[in-house]
Amino acid sequence: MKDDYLWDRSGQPDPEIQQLEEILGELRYLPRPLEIPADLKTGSNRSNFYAIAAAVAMIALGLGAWLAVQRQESPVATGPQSPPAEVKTVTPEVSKPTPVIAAADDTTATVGEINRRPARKPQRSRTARTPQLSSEEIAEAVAAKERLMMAMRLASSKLNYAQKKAQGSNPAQPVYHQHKIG
Amino acid sequence: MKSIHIGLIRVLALGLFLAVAGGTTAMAQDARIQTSSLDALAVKASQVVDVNLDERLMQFAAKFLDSKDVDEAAVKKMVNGLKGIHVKVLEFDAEGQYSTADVEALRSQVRNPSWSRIVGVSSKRETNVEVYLLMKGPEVGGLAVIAFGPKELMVVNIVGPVDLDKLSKLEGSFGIPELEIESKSKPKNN
Repeated sequence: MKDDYLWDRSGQPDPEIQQLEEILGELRYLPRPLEIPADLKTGSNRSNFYAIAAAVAMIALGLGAWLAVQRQESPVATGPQSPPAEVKTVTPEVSKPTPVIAAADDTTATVGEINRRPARKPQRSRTARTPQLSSEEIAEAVAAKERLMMAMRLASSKLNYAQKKAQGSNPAQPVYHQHKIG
Repeated sequence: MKSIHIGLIRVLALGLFLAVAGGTTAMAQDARIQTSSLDALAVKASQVVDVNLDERLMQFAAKFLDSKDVDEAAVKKMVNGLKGIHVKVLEFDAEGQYSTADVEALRSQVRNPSWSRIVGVSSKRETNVEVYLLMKGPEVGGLAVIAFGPKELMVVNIVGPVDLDKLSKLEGSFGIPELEIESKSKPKNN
């Protein structure tokens, strides 16, 4: 069969196919190692630089954002740097030292509970839920509570003031039902 | 081909930067009102009240609120879910200690579509009060009250879902009985 040469190079060769073999033979696979020219510049270093720069910028921005959020959420030191004539700060009612917050067993109690039932025998603990608080933590919490109450009081009073003034012109509408003005 | 590749990386890097910067801006645009611009006025003030409670401290303090006490129970309910409460009050002995620019610095922070001014009380002699709400969809995301009078400048900023109805009712329960003078003073027509 004349076609056999085309498949397995047996039989009578076809000159046309031989000619094609010669032409395409230059491109055939040769088992030799890949030779990369020494002067070839791939540009990958530059690409890596941009990728690394972008990653560093992203990390820096993420860190900055996280720090900014943390700073916002953390309590700010009260009062200005240079003290004014009088700075009203809420003093927690902890002049009485709170010697033992937790009873002999694991029972922990809030300040309110302590004040309310000082003579009561400490209950046996279901209280592994709340960790024991040191006197400093109690003082901090009481101070925070006082500040919280004052802040809410101020907010409420100003809101009521605005509400009353607004209702003065339109008594039917409470402040929180008013439409957007600005 | 190489220049296209580099160009693509540049565009991606720029896009990434803008995305991160945009995210940062969105995070910063929360209900928190910055009052640091008022710090300089504290020197002139006769009284300064500065309260800053973040979520952690507030929730910690809330544990110490007595549920059996009417006032504290009301606050305890209010505090649940709040992210922070920030109050700054400056009281002056004389008038004209602060400028409109100081007030404007506060107003500028609530002058965006997220905030809505729900009420404004203007008075030359008395205290001016402006109440702003930050709306996050259908819910309230924060409250800002800017109050300023001839001798007073005050900012109250509550971050989080605040219930105005409950908040306005608090004042009456803070040891100050609600005086229903009008209803009691109505003449009885016997």
